[in-house]
Amino acid sequence: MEQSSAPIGLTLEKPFEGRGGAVEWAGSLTTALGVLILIIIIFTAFFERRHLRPSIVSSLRFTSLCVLPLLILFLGSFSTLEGSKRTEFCHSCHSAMDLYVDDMQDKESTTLAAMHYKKRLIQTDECYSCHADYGVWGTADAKGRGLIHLYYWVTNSATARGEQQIKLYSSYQNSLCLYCHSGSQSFLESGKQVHRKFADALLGKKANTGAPIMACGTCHGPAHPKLADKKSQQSNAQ
Amino acid sequence: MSTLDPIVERLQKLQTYRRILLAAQILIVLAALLALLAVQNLTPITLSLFLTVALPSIVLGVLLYLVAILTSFLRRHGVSHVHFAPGETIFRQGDEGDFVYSIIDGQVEVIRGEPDREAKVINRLGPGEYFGEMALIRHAPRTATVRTLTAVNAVVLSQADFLVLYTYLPDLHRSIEKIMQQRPVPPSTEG
Ligand code: HEC
Ligand code: HEC
Ligand code: HEC
Repeated sequence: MEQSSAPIGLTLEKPFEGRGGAVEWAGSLTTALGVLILIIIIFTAFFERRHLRPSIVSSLRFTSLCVLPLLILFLGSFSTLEGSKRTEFCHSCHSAMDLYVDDMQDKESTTLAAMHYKKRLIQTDECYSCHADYGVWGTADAKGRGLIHLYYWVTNSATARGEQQIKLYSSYQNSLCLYCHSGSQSFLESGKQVHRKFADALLGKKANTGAPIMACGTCHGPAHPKLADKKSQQSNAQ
Repeated sequence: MSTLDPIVERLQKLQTYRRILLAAQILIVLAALLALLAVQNLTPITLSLFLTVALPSIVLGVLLYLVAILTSFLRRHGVSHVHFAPGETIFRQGDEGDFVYSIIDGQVEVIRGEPDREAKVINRLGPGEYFGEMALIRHAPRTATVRTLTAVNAVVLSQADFLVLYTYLPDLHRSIEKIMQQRPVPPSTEG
């Protein structure tokens, strides 16, 4: 059998990107629309008083000031809101997120996030998948918090600079793990059915704090490294 | 007189229409730039600018555009009597012709700019005189700018109404021909 080399641009090293996702399409369309709007508005303003018939000016205005803006409103919102779920987006706050992203993508790491990433168990948007509560309200909630984070970032708080351990707003809910895991046979049967045994504790919440009675992290931690550990590692290395 | 009349009269002015349209254009351009910025480089800053500035600008811009359409509609229909403040530009050279104006009281000046030369005042008009007919008859852009010198009250006729009278009233036809001959010839390029 004769062997041929892989088509140019294809690689096994990265997630396979055969078809562009909806977000990519929306992004490209938004770009095209934005450029088109600018061109038409400038063109109309410039040539309105010469060469252009009034009926053409009106239709150009209708297109550039009504139809295309409404399209860009929807496509732009979709592509930016979806795009903000990307791990790269989380990572755009480098100082604060390096600790988490670097560890997750570290082949040697054994944290829960890294274990999921290594085997690509979560296909895309890793941080978001484990951290945004699902459903409409969860997402809106996460967006609202995002704006608070922006405030921290702009005011350059200690957590944003990556100098202070970030804490979650409330204790991590098992439900976030269960959206993916409950119902799966491997989860139900593994560890001599340990999860079935502890079902009540895994599903119940403490009355005073709302924290799970038994967090998944009790046995499957840690999810991420601690800032203090990384700092002491760095000072040891020096 | 209903309470709406002053508002409608405002909206009928060419200047108002221009300003509203300009505002709509600025808002939409701003929104388009922010959208480009956000999709090209999505960071917390560009995302928040898109959500908090671009989206409202689009909504407002489209609304203003619709208001502009409304004003241009109002300008074409049911206008008969308008008032201009001193120093107000009634129309500008190069604009699309839409009305003929006949002055009831007040004074206007007619200004023409030619390529490579400074604009100069070529005529003054007062009560009983009219202007704006040239562009309508020749189906060409305005050949001069008209600005008020004092407060002006004027009667206006839309293009359609004017052309009907012009075509079917021979006396009017003749008198307009005569006045047009007396007026300075517009630059040849403008027809
Ligand atoms: C497999 C699921 C999972 C993934 C993927 C994941 N996290 Fe977490 N993350 C957790 C859990 C569980 C906790 C709660 C840890 C605790 O309470 O001890 C947590 C906690 C955090 C905290 C709070 C600080 C801390 O250490 O408790 C931050 C910040 C955080 N994650 C950021 C990220 C970022 C950024 C990413 C993407 C690079 C990410 N996480 C990916 C599960 C995950
Ligand atoms: C977006 C979906 C998703 C989320 C959220 C998620 N996981 Fe997973 N996880 C998977 C998939 C898929 C697998 C592989 C299938 C399996 O092992 O059942 C997996 C595997 C695991 C494994 C086995 C790891 C290994 O090395 O095989 C553990 C332990 C685990 N998850 C715990 C958790 C915990 C704890 C959370 C919450 C902090 C969580 N997962 C959140 C999708 C998810
Ligand atoms: C009391 C400790 C304990 C708690 C709490 C716990 N698990 Fe586990 N889990 C285990 C053990 C033990 C295994 C088996 C590990 C093995 O086989 O290596 C396991 C295995 C898993 C696996 C791997 C399944 C497979 O074989 O691919 C997943 C997924 C998992 N747990 C998810 C969860 C989730 C989600 C929660 C929280 C709802 C949770 N676990 C809470 C003890 C626990």
